Amino acid sequence: MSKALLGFCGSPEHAINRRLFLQGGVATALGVTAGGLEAFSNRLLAGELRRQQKHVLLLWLAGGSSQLETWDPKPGRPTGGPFRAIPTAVPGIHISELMPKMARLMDRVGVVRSLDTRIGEHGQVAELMHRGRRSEAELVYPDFGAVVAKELGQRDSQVPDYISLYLATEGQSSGRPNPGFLGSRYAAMRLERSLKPENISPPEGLSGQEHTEREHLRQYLSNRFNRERNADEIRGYNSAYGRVRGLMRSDSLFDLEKEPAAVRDRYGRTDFGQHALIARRLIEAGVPMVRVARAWWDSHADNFESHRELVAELDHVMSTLLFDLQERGLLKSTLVITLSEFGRTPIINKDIGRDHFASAWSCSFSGCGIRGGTVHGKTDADGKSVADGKVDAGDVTATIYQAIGINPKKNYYVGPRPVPLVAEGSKPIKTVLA
Amino acid sequence: MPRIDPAKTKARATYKHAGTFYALSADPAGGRLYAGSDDAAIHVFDLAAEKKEPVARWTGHENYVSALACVNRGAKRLVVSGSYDRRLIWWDAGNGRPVRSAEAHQGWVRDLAALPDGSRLVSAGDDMLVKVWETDTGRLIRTLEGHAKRTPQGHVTALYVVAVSPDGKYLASGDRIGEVHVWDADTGKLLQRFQVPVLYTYDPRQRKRSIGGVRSLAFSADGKHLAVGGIGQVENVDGLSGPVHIEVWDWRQPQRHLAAGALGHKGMCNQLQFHPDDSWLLGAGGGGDNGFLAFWKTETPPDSSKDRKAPMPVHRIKTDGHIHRFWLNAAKNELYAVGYRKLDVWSLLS
Repeated sequence: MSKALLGFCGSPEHAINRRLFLQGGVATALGVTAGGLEAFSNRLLAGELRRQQKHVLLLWLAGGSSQLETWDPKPGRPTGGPFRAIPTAVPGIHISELMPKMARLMDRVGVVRSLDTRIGEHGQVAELMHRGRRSEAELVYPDFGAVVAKELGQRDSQVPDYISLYLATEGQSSGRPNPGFLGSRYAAMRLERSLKPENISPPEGLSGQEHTEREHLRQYLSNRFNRERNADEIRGYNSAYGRVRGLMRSDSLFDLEKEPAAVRDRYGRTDFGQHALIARRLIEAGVPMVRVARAWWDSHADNFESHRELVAELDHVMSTLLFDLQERGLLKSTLVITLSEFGRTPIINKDIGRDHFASAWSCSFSGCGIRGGTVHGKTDADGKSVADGKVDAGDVTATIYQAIGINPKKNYYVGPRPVPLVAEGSKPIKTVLA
Repeated sequence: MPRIDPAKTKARATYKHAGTFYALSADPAGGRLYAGSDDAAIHVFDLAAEKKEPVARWTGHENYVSALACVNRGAKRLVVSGSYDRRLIWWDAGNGRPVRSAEAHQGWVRDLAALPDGSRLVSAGDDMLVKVWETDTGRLIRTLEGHAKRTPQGHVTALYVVAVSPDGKYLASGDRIGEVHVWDADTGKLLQRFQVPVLYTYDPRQRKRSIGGVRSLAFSADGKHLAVGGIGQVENVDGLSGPVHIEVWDWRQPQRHLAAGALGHKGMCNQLQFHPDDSWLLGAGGGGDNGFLAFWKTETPPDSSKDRKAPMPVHRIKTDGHIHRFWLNAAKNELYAVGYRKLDVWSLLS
């Protein structure tokens, strides 16, 4: 795409516009996505699903959290480690003692204890868990966040459809959201270096008044041009500019200094706690898909010490988030997921660590579309294999779609080729669905 | 007392264990060695037996046995154990029966030590408290509070280790963020506190979590110096890939006299002990380079006028398996080391 076509002057003040265009606006403007997929499908933006304003919040536990220290404890077993299992608000369901706050909220959580995803390599499996399947040589599947952004995004929204907060550097690139064949229109806006989106402030020396006047002029010229030609491109440009304006105005969403100290304290003054608070603010502002990464869980040594640190934080942040969403009336419309690349080995190694383990591990779902107080699947006594209800990455993806009202059996089209949203044979995990 | 020659250290016997031993204490007079395990049991060994096999297995705890202390009180021989189940249990060493149990800490019991006369016990737990107990009655005498309850990053922390000076006058405790406190054993007054920040790694950028802490403490025979050990700064907190790190402090100043590694060995130093004649400082642990036993020469009195960073003369033995605790039988020049899946007996003959 040439600068001339987009009308960029190359000046610094257009840096964000250009970036967002490249990320998102252009595909919409031209009415195509990569591979010519589903041209103009976003004309259906007034659909029921979008009216319902649903959201997905992924707590991405990057590096591989231990199922034995979270959702599937095995106390007293040689593999169990030192943490006890505690009863929860739901009779018969026990989780790790490291999660007392989540134990009290168990009636809002559906746990899956029977993930068998086979792959134990960070990069490959991060991609697998985000996309629900391995990509083909000539077809890169979108991650579920991009699908959610496409399905739930509002055309006239003033905020991005998909925002990812991942500020640790480890695992950042391998776990990076990828819109695949949906194209850059549905790419996540990534916050990876700071919590403040870069290049969204008006350029130095340009007053707010001047900035507004420039925009009015651009809008006037666009509208006049469009009246004469009725071009989809111009509608797309306007939409993209609208998002940029919205983003610039919504800068404050990322600025926690404006949040009351008590609210910040409530989430905890850790990075993860503050990122989760931003996520709640984004969801409240209408962002359909938010990913908050908490890295890095890869505890090959000193596993119990690191899980004391990380799970205690997860317990606090996740429970606060669920309470806060509920208090604001957002929990029933927001699906909250905890997911990782894989779990950790039941065998405790010589350095009191647990290694990568993809054969029998856990994730959780809460909120929108989820039947709380449920557990799907079962591992054997030592947690070494799935004893019942084996599911895989595709089933997780299908569950996410089903929970928020997207038909997992739906097809997208890449050219003439129908591409189902989920891998063949993948099914929603009904146990945890409302 | 026979002198040791680390260069002649030889493995003499091994007992293979299904789990990991976290605690060790011995009663030479009673001829017994006690090892606490992740199977929640205390495994009892006969010190005199050439082949090391448990002669008894005591059960009563409900979680890892993380600390042990043998105490002789007149004719009574006691073993006191601490556990991640938060309790202390007093055992009659004669018959292996529990005598008393106390809910000791609101968190894991990490360490336990007895005063030289056996009258008092000192425990450290993850409630970040040091507690002083009357051995004979189990009465809590005093609670020592002062270690931070959270790391600077707002996370949970831990109080890993406690030590008692040979004259019984001082107690020392060390936590996850590298802080050492020295207390008056009689009054509980905080006498000194100092930081060994190199022992705590928080990775703020790449992995956003921490590793390390003061994992070992030992007073010199004269009580003037305190050895502090753990793992130095770790680049990749996924593993124990930082260097073994120890420091020796004149704790009253407080002033560091020296800092040393173990010939580049990567790992955590889980225990330190001065040889009774102060000629050697012994350490053990494990990590990226597997287990180790290390001997730092301390015969030369520390020069308090300078901070020695040059390596001390050191002898390091690589072992197969991470060592958590050892017991030095100085009278016989033997060293018993326990850890990942075994008990090893080493000869330190000069």
